[in-house]
Amino acid sequence: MRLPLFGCAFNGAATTAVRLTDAIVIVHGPGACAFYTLQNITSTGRKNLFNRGILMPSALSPHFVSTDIGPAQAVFGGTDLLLEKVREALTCKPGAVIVISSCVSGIIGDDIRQAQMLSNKDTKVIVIGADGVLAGDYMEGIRLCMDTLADELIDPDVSPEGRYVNLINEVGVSNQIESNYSSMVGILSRMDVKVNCRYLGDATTGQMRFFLRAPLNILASDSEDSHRIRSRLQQKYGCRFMDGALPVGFEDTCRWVRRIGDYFDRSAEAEEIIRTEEKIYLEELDKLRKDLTGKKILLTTINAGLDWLLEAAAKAGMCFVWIGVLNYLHQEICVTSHPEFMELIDTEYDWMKVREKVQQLKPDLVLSNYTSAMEDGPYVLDAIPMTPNMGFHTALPVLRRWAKLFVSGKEGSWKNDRTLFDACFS
Amino acid sequence: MTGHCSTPVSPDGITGMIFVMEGIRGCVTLLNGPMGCRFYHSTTSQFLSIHPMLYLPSKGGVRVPVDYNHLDNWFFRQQRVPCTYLDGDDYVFGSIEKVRDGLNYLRDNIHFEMLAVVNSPGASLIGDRLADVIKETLPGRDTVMLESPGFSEGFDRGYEQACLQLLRQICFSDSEKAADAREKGKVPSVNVLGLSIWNRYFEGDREELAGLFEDCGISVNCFLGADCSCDEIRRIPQAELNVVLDPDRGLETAGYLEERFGTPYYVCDTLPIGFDAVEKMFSDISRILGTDPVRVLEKSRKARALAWYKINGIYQSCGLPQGALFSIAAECRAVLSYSAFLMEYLGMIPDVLTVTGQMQPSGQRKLRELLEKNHALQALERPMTKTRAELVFSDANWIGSLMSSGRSFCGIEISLPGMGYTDLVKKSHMGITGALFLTEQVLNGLMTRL
Repeated sequence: MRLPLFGCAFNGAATTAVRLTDAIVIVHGPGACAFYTLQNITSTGRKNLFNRGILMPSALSPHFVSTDIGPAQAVFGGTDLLLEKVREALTCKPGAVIVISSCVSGIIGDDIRQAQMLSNKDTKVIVIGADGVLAGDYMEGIRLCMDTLADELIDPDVSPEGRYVNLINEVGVSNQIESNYSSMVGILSRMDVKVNCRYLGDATTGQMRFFLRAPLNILASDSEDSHRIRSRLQQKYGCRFMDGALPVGFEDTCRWVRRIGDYFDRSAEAEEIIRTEEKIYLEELDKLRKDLTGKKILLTTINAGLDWLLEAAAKAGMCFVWIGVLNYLHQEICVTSHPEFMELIDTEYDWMKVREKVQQLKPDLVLSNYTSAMEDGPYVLDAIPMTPNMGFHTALPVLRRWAKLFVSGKEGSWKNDRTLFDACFS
Repeated sequence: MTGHCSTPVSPDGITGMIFVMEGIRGCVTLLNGPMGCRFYHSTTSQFLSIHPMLYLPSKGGVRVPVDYNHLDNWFFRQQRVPCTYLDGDDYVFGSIEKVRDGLNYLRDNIHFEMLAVVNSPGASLIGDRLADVIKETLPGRDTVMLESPGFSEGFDRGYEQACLQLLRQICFSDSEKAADAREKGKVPSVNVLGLSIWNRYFEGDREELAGLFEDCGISVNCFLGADCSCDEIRRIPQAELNVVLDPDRGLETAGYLEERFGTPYYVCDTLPIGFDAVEKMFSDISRILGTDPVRVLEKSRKARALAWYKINGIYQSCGLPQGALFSIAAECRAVLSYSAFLMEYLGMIPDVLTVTGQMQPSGQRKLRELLEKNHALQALERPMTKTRAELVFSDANWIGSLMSSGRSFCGIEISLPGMGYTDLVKKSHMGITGALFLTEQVLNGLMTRL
């Protein structure tokens, strides 16, 4: 039995391609495909604008065109329609035109490569044959887009110079993208280091062309996909990468800042940054200890790095009693690098076992990726932030929240009303 | 690059189809397509309306809720719109086995009163005969097969096709088919066609309209596809009148019901947005059914009085809202209905009017007539990117896009997607409460003098 494909390559590729801010993305498919994809692209932008007044142009107003394949094209082919849309797009003189194919255009056999022939001296037409789900899932679409754009745009003759870095593989749809980027730029600027290109966050075709100007590359996330991109850029262009990814939590960020300082000969500045941030960090932990010390935590999680949380909780005097890891991809456990936490990890469990462990170990705090997975009980139940912010102080808001929850002891009486819901709406 | 380059992107037929079926209580909609076509519909359906918990098939009258931790197969842990997750091999070898497996799973694990299978655009090209598979797997159950969602034909087309297919495929009992089932002496009832759970303020609109019908001594038999039950759909032939709120979504359905059951229908001039439109609609329907609209008219008078006081306060200080520029980007019927209210009641002036989706001839004609009467036809010609309006009425994609280009205005959401605001208190743009809420949004959105 084939595994389900989550999302489709078309959506993954289009969501990634719009981050090239001076390019026009033409999606070749029916209006339905363009509609879902646009909602995916704009959801973060709308939420940020509404809740925080933050304007994210590429997520609010992408250069995004649909060919809107109709019944006639579904029968007789839609290549002519696509070429007409590409010609129209070229009149806007964009940095590039990127064509992405959907299931329907793939099934009917449209040859989207014909669009490449319309490239001119100013604008390259780039085609990504995602063919909807035919090329794979959402992540495969991101890979396909990233690789194609690198191959088509990076100028191999550019040489490294100055104190520049590239940021590689920011997660596509996340509220944290821009705040993480701002935090990183803030730290780097204190060492006089600048960002050359975000591959692929918001970037221009010009920045992609001069991608190799940066002597050092930084992974935004420590994922299989990031590692794959790193290998590809190393092999193809000889790019140098810093170990690890954008740092999360105090210890990780200290190591990261030192490595940047070492690389760009800015070690003194790096140590000064760490001293300043450590003082803030320790003062905050001191304030929290009276509410957190001695509290027991039972944790269930997917297999994702949580050292930022484990280290900070332990420093605040809390102790972990059991860690259940749902390792559904059967990968090497990456929740922690610390042996004292590793020995608490149990990968063979179901929800019945979690309930038994809760009974047996009587934790004060039960953490899970989804709070709905556990019933309420004589403990505080909370969700683990799935996409933590980068930087020195990632864990502090989380610890402050727990302290407040322990002190208030409030759960909200709304939880008692599930039976009312069932009675009213069943 | 020379300016911004994009084309308006509107929901397509598949979205219209899925949200008709998701607007039926007790219906499970199985999407036969890739998972990429599913996430938006699953998430949005859950967000738009209150769906009860899923239950296991009833055994001996005992109802056991489904444990969502185990809702992996076909649902992928989202409660709405299970999916056959088609991939490239399925496009080559067919989707019948997957659909059969999915139906077997749903039959054995989930309680439902009706089941709909909706093909994605790609799946509709395969040509599988799924109707036979559904009948074999779920004999005697209410099922609906929606073979083709169309290609770029728009939300309204999908909505209407889903309603028509639903009414053609569902079993009405003999007694329900009979026109004489409409007993004399009972409170007259209507079916409402054209409302969707995908309306921005659907729950409030539905409640408001139901209340106004009740005030006229009319009961609503069924809001088709807008939080109706399967029983209400089966009772559709019993209504005295079908009310078409939006002809682009309901006129063909009304024609079908007239032909099959002899039920006459009434088509609203515009959506019931604004006092004039509401008073006319309920007066007309009351006249047809021989009821009295006086309570609705009285409610409207009181609401107009309240609105006058608040509008007058602002008018006295700065002359607004009269002459304030507004722009709208929405479907044709919404542009017509909102424009009529804003121009004729509030005295505002249209700056840019952009019709999204399919332009239907009847709506287009009415819109042009309205604009000609108000010397404002040029509003249809100007691009939205050039708007100078104080107020922009549209969905959050348009509003966000214009804001990111540096335009300064107040955005008022009239269609989806929204910015992400979670509504608990039901709000409405339709009916009398809707006219007040809309006036409130306009007054609060104007930059009045301090």
